[in-house]
Amino acid sequence: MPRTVLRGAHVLDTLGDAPDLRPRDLLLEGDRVEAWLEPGEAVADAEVLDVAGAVVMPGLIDAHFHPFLVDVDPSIPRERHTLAFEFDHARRALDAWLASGVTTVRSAGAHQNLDVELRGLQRSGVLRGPRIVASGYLVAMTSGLRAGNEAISVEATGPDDARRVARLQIKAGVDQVKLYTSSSVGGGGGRMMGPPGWPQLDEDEIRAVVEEADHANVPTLAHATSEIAVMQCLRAGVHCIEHATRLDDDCVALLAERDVPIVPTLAIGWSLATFGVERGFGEHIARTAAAKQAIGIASLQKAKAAGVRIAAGTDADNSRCLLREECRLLVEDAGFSPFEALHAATVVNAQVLRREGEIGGLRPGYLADLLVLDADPLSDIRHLADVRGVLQGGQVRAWRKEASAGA
Amino acid sequence: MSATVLRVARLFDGVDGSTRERAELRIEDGRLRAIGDHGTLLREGDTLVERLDLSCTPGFLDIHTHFCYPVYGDFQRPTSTPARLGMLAQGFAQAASWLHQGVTAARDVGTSFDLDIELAELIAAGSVPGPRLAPAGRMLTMTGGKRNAFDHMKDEVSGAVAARRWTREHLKRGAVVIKLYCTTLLEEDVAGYLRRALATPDGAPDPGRWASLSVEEIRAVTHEAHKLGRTVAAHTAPAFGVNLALRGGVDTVEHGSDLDTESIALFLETGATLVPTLSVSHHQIAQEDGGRADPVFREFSLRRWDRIRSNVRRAHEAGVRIATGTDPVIPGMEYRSELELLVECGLSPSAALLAATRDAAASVGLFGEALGTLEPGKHADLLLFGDDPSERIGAIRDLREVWQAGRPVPPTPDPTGVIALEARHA
Repeated sequence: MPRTVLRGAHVLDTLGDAPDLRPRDLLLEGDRVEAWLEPGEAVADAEVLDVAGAVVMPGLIDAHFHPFLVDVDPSIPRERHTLAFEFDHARRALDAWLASGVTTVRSAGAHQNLDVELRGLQRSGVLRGPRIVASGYLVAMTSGLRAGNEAISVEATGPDDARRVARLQIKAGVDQVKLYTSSSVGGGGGRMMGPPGWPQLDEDEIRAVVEEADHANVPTLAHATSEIAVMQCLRAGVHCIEHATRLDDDCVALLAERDVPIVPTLAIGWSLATFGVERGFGEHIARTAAAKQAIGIASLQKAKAAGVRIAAGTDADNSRCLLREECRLLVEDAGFSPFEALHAATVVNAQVLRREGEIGGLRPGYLADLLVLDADPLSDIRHLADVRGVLQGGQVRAWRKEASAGA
Repeated sequence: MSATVLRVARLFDGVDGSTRERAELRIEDGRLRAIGDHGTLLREGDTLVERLDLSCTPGFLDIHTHFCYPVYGDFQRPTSTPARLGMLAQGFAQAASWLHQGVTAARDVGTSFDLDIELAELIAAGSVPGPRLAPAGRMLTMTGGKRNAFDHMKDEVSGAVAARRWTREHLKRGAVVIKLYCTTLLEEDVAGYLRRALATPDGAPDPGRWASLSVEEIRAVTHEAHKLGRTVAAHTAPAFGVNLALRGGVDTVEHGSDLDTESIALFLETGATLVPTLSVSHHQIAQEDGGRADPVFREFSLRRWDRIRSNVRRAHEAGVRIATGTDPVIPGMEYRSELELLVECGLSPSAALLAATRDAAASVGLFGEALGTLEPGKHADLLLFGDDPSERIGAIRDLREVWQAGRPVPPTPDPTGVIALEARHA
């Protein structure tokens, strides 16, 4: 198997309770990290990749990504979204995420289970991008998503029906089952049937889905933006809470007790507030997003203080809404240390995907998913934007041509 | 917008098969404005592009492609969605590959789920590099004419009214060409059928159980398509099918591996084009040489190959219009071989180039109106070669530049290669 040594970098290990950043060389063999070496240590039969002066960290994981929803012009009516149009958008989005250092994405939902199909194309080597961990259709209640948005969901009423659609999803090959348990507060257009956050699937329905997922040994994740929805999900055994916009003390206590992580998706709130008008969503959406963001951050801080695990995901609708922005917002708006943000984007996300020991770290035995930066993101989280190169499974996937040794 | 003047050593403009020396072309807004001798067209403010050692021809047309043909997908379960995205991945890759081989316009003749109509939109919008594309979407065949893996590529009709209604609907879906699957072999025992065919004097596959569209059904389709300036392509193998299609008014006959005397007369009478798709037959034989084929299939392919070549020679000598189409449904095929194989069949290099340019454009209705020759008013889709391919067809392998709409086509990055990151400006 081909062996490569990454020479001359500081290597950042995020697996411990505190950052471990020191000069090391990394020996890769095949798609894995084989060993940590002393700087300059001689190795036989290995190609050398000079990364002098760089900081090498584990590839980032985006825990909340929709491959078909990035950079779609909202002025183009949905009936004009051909499959070729959607595929073209997905491949561009995957490239943008990979180029920014994201080597794995958890797809949080795709119509027609198309993320499962993208995963298949990746496995046959014809599609580049972060490794897709697929959810396929969202499981929603009957009439759950607003008119115009329902194509992304399969609908159910009653625990038997919910169980049936969960079984079909598992048979379709999803890596996890996504539940839609409360109404959305962001997004564009359409008629809102109830107040933001109104609970949708009921606890017995959620429980049926979780049972089926447990039989298949795949995790569940639930879109839950309000206190009632979060409590129902937790009581029903959901494995991860997405958005978690409104959390009361009971929610936080139960999250901590059950050790269920949350994915606050600050990036999409920031993006809608910042680019919403420019993207064509209207003033109202931008204002709502800004107000919601403040609530979400307060909930996040409460959860973090109670010891709830925090994962990092974008829910991006455009290619400026990258995972590095999520990390930056965790630091600058929510008071995380840079290490805590990076720990979320690597270690906690790997736990959420049940891939710990394989991704989210760079110790020997891990997949060689590596982000090569020009500067230390612990000193300033914004250095996540200074990408020199990206490796995935030991292969160079993105590289800056003019990057020179010691830059 | 300023004009570009392109100065070349030799120009094969595709109009009459001749080549002129020391020519230049004036290009504005993606179209040709004038053709002249060196030093006659340059005005102040124009950009001069000198290619003083290169030969220029019109961009090529491949009028028989299937860019999205499932290669990555599971062909046994082609209605599953993996096949659909796999077909698109294949379509994106093959469209780019054909463009870089000099195919600046193509006609896609039959694609499951109408994916080629979607691909054509992306190419036209500039999102995906590829030839200007005239898509057919799904094909039309007769009731009972679908076969196994091709089920989802075709709709079925019976009767002229049904055919007419279907054509109207399909034109609205965005088909720029209508593809008819005119005849289908219904033999269960294909090997047995081939053995019987091989026992006939010329090995032609006429005896057998065939289903065929009727001439009235075909005529209904051509009537509707022609009203919009769109054209009809007919897939058919046996001579009776070719003759039926020609009597029904189709614009092109695809493959046409069996032609009789009447076929040649009908081609001349109707002005229809023969698209012999030599590349796919040739490639198939080359593959079977690898020892993968049943000896009966191999024998049949070889006999058919001889027949196709003599048919092309005969048709060309009689004055039938011939156009290039590759039918690239086997992995590893390319466009350029089609011209070389035409020359093997007895066309001069210049006639082969006309089959790839003027005559292909003349076979595809309004879609081809501004394509196929380098004349004022036409799209500035052109190719630059190191040597003159009208003298020596092998020169098509020394393709130096492909221009589409008056601009050189930039290289298409490998969609699975290393992404080149931009330097970050602080």
